Amino acid sequence: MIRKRGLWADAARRLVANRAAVASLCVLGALCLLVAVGPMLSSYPADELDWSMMGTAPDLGSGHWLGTDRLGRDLFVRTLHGARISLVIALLATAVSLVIGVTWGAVAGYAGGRVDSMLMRFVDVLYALPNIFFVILLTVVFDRSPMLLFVAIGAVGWLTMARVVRGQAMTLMRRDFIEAAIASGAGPSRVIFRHVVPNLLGTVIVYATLMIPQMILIESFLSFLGIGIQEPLASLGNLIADGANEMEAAPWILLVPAGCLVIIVFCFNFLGDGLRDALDPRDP
Amino acid sequence: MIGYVLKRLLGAIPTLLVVIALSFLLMRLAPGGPFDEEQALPAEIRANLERAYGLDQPLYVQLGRYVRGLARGDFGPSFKFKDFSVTELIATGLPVSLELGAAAMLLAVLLGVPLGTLAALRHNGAVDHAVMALAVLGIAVPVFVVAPLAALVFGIYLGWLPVAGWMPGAARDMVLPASTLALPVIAYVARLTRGSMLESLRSPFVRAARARGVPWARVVWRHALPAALTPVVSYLGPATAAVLTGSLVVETIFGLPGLGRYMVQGALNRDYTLVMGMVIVYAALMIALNLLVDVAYAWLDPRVRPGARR
Repeated sequence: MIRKRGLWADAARRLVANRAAVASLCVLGALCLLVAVGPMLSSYPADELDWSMMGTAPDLGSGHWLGTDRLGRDLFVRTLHGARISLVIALLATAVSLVIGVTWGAVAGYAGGRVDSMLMRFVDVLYALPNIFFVILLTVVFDRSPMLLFVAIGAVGWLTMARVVRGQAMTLMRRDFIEAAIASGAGPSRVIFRHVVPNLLGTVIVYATLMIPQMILIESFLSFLGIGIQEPLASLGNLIADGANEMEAAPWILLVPAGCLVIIVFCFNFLGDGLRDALDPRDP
Repeated sequence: MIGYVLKRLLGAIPTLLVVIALSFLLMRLAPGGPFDEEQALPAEIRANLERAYGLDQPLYVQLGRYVRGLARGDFGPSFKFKDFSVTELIATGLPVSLELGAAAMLLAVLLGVPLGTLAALRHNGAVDHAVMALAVLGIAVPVFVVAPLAALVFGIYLGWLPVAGWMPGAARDMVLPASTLALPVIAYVARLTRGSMLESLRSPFVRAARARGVPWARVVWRHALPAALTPVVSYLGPATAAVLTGSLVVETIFGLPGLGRYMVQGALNRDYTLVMGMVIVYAALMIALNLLVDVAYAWLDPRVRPGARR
């Protein structure tokens, strides 16, 4: 008997065949585990100052595996804390822009006509501007609250998603099953969220995966400038800013968080590319 | 063509107005006012200050007044840089940022296009692999990691270039900031050029030129490359956005007195008028440059030229 092979099983098979994507997935999984339990492995807490160990180099013997920063805090633990905050903010920001972008695009694609051109005109206007300036404006409005940072980032990052979803939704609207749903009396919100959106899932997953590294970069960018996450909280951005101040005497304070950031961004990009190839086989 | 440019210019005005209104309203939604100091001001002084800055008026009056000021080139006073108007701050910062940005864009095109072309000509060769590796690195490693590392290596370990500082017209001060700012754009331009060059080298018109006996160098430079450049030109708009964004970090790290630094300081100080003025200047810059790119595109590619027969 031939086993049934659905869209998702097919996609999974193609993804597993992509070595870079699988390796990235493994690295990211390991990193998430490390970020969750890693701080417990070290004998040092993240916020303990050690005046006798200020800026010591990485050393396996002392227990400061990746050295300490200029206040004697353990860099291994602090980098994991920073990576945790950066990842959480990036995931939340992605979720925010997912909700806005998918709704915006799906409504535009569903409605068509004047509503569509108005909604997309707004996206075009914002698209032409460097969005980091609006994020900065929003962080000022939110009084630089770390809790609302992800809202500010997410509120600006949804434009590409809206465009992609709208295009896909427009093609879906011409399909028979949508017509059937409308004919059998489904209202606009039911058609959008029960019939259109589920069929966009593949595209949405690909773009969400590619969005996460962008969000991490925006968060780190802001924290680097001092506008995002602030001391004593750590994010990869403000750890890199710390390191940049000390790099002459203690380059590892810069290199450890910077390396961590670059690895995360690389892995998400490879994974996103792999997912795109897996879920969208038309485009080799 | 002139009609097209005029039409696009007129189309930019509502965009700019939307940006102004949006940023104005967002700023006024912010909690706390510009006069929140560590010590609370007496109520009368506060009221006087608010009246002096026109903050006691209804929002739409304030917005109208602000837009009218903008039309005269008046961005209002800076709330935190006392004695300076935002216009003065912009006037001092803009030339620095423009010089930095122009140098970075120039570098990106002058290095990115030849690198991409070379990679395409040596498809799957060592040069190709090196350029692609550089492209991947340049895109994944953010400016705020590259800039301190470049300062560390070239400024401190090797001591070739100054790490910070700014003298008008001193090219040495510009090398590190401009090249770190250009790096991701070089990477992207090289990747784009390589891709479209590969396609263009395989196309019939290149084979036809070869068959007519046109020398190879001329085929590459006069036939294949101009056709391959259209995606690069249309990327110049987003590239400008990337350069403007990166300039915030680069100006902060290398201590350049440009717009980016005022923007960051304005955000840290909650200097409403300054941040708003900066957002508007950046938006206007972006819109103007996008227009320029579109015009260049229409000029390069006859198919999108206005009035072209379809």
